[in-house]
Amino acid sequence: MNWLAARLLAVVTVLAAVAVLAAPQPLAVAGALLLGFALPGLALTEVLFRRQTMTAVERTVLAPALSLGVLVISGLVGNAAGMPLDRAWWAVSAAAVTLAALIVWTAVVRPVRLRRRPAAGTAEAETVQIPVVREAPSPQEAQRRADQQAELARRRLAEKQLALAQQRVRQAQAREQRRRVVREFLPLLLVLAVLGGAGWVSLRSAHESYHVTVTTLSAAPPGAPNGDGNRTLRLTADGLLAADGPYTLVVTGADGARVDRRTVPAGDGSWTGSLVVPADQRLTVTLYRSGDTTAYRTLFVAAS
Amino acid sequence: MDKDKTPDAARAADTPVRPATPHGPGPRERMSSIQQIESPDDATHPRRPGSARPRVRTGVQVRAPWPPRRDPEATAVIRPGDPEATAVIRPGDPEATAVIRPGDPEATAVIRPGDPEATAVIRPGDPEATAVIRPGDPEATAVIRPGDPEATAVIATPARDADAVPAASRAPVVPGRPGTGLPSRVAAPQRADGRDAELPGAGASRADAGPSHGQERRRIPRWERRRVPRGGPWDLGHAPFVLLVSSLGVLMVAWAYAGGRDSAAGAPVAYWIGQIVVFTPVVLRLLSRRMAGVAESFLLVMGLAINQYLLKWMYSPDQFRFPDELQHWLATTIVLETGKLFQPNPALPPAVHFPGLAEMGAAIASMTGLPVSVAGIMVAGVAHLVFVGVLFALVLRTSNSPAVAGVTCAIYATALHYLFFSSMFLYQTAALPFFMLAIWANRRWREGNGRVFAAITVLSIGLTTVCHHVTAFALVATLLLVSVAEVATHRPRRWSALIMPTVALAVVSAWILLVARDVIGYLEAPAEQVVETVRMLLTNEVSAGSVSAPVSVGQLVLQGSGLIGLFVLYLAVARDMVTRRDSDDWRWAALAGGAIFFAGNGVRFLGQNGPEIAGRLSTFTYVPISIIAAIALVRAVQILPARDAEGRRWWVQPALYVAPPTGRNLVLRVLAGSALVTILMIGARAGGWPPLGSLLPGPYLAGGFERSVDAYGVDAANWERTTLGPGHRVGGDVTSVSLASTYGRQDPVREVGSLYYADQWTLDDEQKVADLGLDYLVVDRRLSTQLPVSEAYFENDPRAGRITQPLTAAQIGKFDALSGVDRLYDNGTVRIYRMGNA
Repeated sequence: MNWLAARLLAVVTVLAAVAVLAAPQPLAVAGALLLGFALPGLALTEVLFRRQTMTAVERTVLAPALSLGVLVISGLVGNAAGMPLDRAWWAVSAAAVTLAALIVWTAVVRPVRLRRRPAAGTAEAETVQIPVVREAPSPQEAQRRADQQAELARRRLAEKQLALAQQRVRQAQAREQRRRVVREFLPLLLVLAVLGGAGWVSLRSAHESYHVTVTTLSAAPPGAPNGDGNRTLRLTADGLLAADGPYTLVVTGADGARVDRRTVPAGDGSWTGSLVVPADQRLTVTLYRSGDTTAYRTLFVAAS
Repeated sequence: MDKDKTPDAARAADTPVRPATPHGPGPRERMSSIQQIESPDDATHPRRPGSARPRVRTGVQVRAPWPPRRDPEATAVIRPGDPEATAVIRPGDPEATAVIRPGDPEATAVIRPGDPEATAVIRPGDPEATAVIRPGDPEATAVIRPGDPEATAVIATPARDADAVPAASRAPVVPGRPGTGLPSRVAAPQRADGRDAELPGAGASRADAGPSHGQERRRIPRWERRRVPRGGPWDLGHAPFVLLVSSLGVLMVAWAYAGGRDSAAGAPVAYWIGQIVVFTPVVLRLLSRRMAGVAESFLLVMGLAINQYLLKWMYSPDQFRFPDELQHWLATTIVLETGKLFQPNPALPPAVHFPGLAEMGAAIASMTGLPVSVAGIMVAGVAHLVFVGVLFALVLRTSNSPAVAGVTCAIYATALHYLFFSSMFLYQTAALPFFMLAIWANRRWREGNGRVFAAITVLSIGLTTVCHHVTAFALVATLLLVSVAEVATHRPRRWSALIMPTVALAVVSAWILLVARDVIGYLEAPAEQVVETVRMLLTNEVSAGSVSAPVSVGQLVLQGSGLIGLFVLYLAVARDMVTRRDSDDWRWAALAGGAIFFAGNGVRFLGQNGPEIAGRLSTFTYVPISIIAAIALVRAVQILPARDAEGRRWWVQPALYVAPPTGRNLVLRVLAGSALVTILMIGARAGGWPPLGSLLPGPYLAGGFERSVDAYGVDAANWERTTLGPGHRVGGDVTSVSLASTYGRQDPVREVGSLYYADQWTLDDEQKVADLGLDYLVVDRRLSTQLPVSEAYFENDPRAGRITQPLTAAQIGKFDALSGVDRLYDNGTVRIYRMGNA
């Protein structure tokens, strides 16, 4: 990692944290995925393995691995410290770890690397120019110097030509690289498209298969009877379909006598009502669809 | 000589390839830790009794004959092991002296091979540097890998055609190994004309960097070409096209799943074809010996992992349905709601003290604002991919071969629980990447790469422990196995290898004893069941619990064929290692792990829980057997070795180098290897999870776990949470209890089977309700219309494996007639009764 990459990483970290804490959900998702799976690991890899020889594969897998580790450890630390493990904690802790690693990199790793570089410019700067008085060169010496300069010029020219040739080679290689990227990434784009299609097929199929309307009749556990020997029964009917409505709710006693009967409109698909019923007998609550002669849903409420 | 070639390149191109001989050190590619090189002279020239090994310091083993013979074919093989070691070798020619001090940055290596003018001076500086020298004598080749304890140094002096294989062809793919493209700090030997001699290592570096670095074309033997990245380190080769084909398989499986939901007739056929299309092209490519390099192999492996993860996700893309995922959905939701760890989780109490996965899920869910199920899919996917990636990195580092690493991961993908259980949103999935990271970091620490890797190992041990108990135990065992192998294979003994398993044992023990004591009881039951089954087998007793679930003959044949194939490969590699007197500790550890894998397969026959325990065990033991099988397939280890001159076949030291197969032989081997791995995959899908009857998603199946989760059960569970409130004791069939304890937040009661099986309600049943403290009972009417696909309707089902007809309508409906029981919920399919205790 170079200085520019470190600064870029720091900026992205701050932006990701801000996105998680304050931005709309699409940006928050992007920021959260970066903070959760990538940024802390990237920074830690640079700091921890600065002196190690690592393969690209190892660096690639270490970033998400260490990021997951940061989530686990920050959760344990936050819990031990009594902090609520909420959005702010996760975002701030992941960002803080990333920035702390970058600070360590900036304060410790980078200076060490700079010190290790051959300090050509530094040596030149420290060179003290001492004025000297030169005698006029002899003709032989002048000829020798002229030859040297000519040789030097030839060498420089050759070096320039070599550099130019190398540059052309590099440009050709870059063109080839770009062509290869197209050759290799076009199939990968198709792969993404096919996988996206497969995902869509699955989601649609699952939605059509499992997301069915469930019509239910339920009652909250009845409470204790009041002084009149009655109790309140709170009933709920969900998943009511307009095509099946209006529904009819019938409450009968143990002897088959009707206690209550009312029409339940399908409405928005849900109905809730409270009935005052005698507590001393077992009741049967039945829901009928429009036109039904047999019970569609049935509840039993035991005598208290 | 071709003017376009460097002297060495031209020499390499002009030199004929030496054919493999049983006694000659031919060109060799087996230079890494999983590759095998021994002196061929060990077998033919045994050391004299009492003669000392030519060790100047400990840790260096020189297998060349000593004192040196005047054998022009003499080869010295050195494993520097100890970075501090110094080896002095005089292989063949008494005037040729090589002094190597690897590891020490200040070390100097001097080689004076006969000719006083030909002197190479090496200052490796970087312990990981690589020096490849051809000093003076163009036919003398020295290859030195200092610093790397597992590296092998080979000096072939003077071998007439020793450099027939150019250094570029030995190009390794892992930094720190030869020809990595790293700047060499080795001073080039001077030629007689004063120019720097060509350093093959440098050439290898350029070769690794690809043709963009102006590398001259060298003639590379055909069998070595696959080791040379053709288009540079980022050449993806044919991986994109192979993955495109593989992704079409994913699409086919998606259609099969959709057909399964609609009960389409051709869905199973489409499923199996899709599975093969997803998997086999990748395996074929990995085995083809023509890969471009690490990038292609890694892309193939990760692409396969992604595609297979999608197969799991597409099974239930809209919500969690697998019981274990539901339990961890609850654990994550609790963290999200309370903001605290270690809160009670009635669905899976032991998971409370292993909160790693819940932390990850809660972090992503709270930061993104997405539902826990979506965040969980992301977390499980990333963890699964990291696990596969670290496995690839580990094997790549130990083998220095992208093909071996790739094939290992592909074979591992045929583990019983790889496709579903190891990639579900459950705590083992979270622990597996840290498990593998610990092994990888320990490996690098043992290589002498610095204390930071020791620290990463300890950190990974801690994270594994916080995530999952069984994975933590497996980590201790794995580290112990690797360490024991290192201690056993190295002289002097490296007792420091035992540090990490000791640390792991301490960390895991401390967590279990101080934090997660309840896990002891949780794991005690299945362990006791296995022990009891073993005891009953030994005493010829029979009970319901000691009988394994029946397996179809077809499934048995399929899985048996795969296992036999694996066993043949295992035996071939084992024979090869024994006859070569292999001293690589990691390879021996893999071999021992492979033996544990085969032993573990026997557990599946130990009682009802046997298959599940064997499957869980294989998650860990399948790693070493995958490595061993990959070595056998990629390195073309001879299953049926050729006879030697004396007619012996089996226990003869194999030739140092045997040319890998080419042409038709290669095609046959690749096809056979791919067929074997494909059979393993099919066997794993048929015998893994979901069960064969539930391979496709579809309508409700009684006792079908994920196939039993539908809108009716979920609605009932949601009603329990919203209307009843949490914490009531709720009983029911397997699925009802699972949903009640997760979506419903109730306290599950699992021992209620006998209440359902009773034809009439008796006082005993009343008493049982009271004893269990049962508040509510969930009754799914479909139990009276279907037999359970899992051989049991209930957890702890008293009639498990003996159910021949569904529950009767009378058994299901008897609760309606109980005067003291309320039916408070009815959705036409699922009914909930209040049992009077609430």
